[in-house]
Amino acid sequence: MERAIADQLEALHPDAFGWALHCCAGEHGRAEDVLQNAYLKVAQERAQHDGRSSFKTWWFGVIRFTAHEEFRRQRYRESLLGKLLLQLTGDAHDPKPSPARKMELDERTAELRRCLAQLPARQAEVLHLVFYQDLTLNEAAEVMRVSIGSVRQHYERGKARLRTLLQPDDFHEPEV
Amino acid sequence: MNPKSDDDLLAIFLHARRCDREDAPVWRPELLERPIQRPASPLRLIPAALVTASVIVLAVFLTRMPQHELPLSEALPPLFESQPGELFASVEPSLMSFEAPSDFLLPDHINPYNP
Repeated sequence: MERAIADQLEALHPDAFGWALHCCAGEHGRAEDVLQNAYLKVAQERAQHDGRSSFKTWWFGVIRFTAHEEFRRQRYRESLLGKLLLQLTGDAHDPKPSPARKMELDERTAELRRCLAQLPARQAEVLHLVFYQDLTLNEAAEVMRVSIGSVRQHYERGKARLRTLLQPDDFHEPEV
Repeated sequence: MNPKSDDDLLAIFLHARRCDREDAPVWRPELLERPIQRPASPLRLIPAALVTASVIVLAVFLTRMPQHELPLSEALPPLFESQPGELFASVEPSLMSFEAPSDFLLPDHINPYNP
């Protein structure tokens, strides 16, 4: 592992967790698993930055792909056969966050997450990448592996839809 | 990228970003350490060795198994073993050897048994 790559990953760690959190529909535990698996891919050199895109867009693409893998695994666990096997192996765990964890979540953030969950996945992704991660539309297209035209369409439609979903009192500037 | 009209959305996302950063797990450099590659245990080779040995034993058994099947010429039943002779010889005796019970009533000149 090169020192430069480790430094970049460390600098991007909080944003990478935010992106993993979005890819996992706000589930904290799953987001941590996804991020850990993505780090493992880099450590085992199963994912390598080839320099064709910026490090951040490449890294976010790896996290997105890993989250999709985790989603498929989760769907298998939720299947009947998967539940049976988990009961036999005794490896079952509750994927839902604890009630205490729910209480800690900021209401405005939770509201935003609820609204994003009602959008089509591509629209929610591009809005997160642009507004949350401060990526350009071109960079978002690289992360999502779709054309720039498609991203622009998702971006415009997503913004309009999100505004209708958000409550009017959510548009005030947050007091920090 | 984000015009002035998008400031409302930007503010909400930035607030969420601040909250998530507070919740983010701490950075652990050991996550990037290459996992130790375990040397291949000899026990892991046992199933493959068993399968290979079974195949060899089966092949040897099949090749050395004695052949019980007879050739076709020997397996067929002998259809033409009887000696060639007069057809229906046993069913219809010849007229010369036929002797009816009423032969003694025949006149002497046509009775073949009359000397």
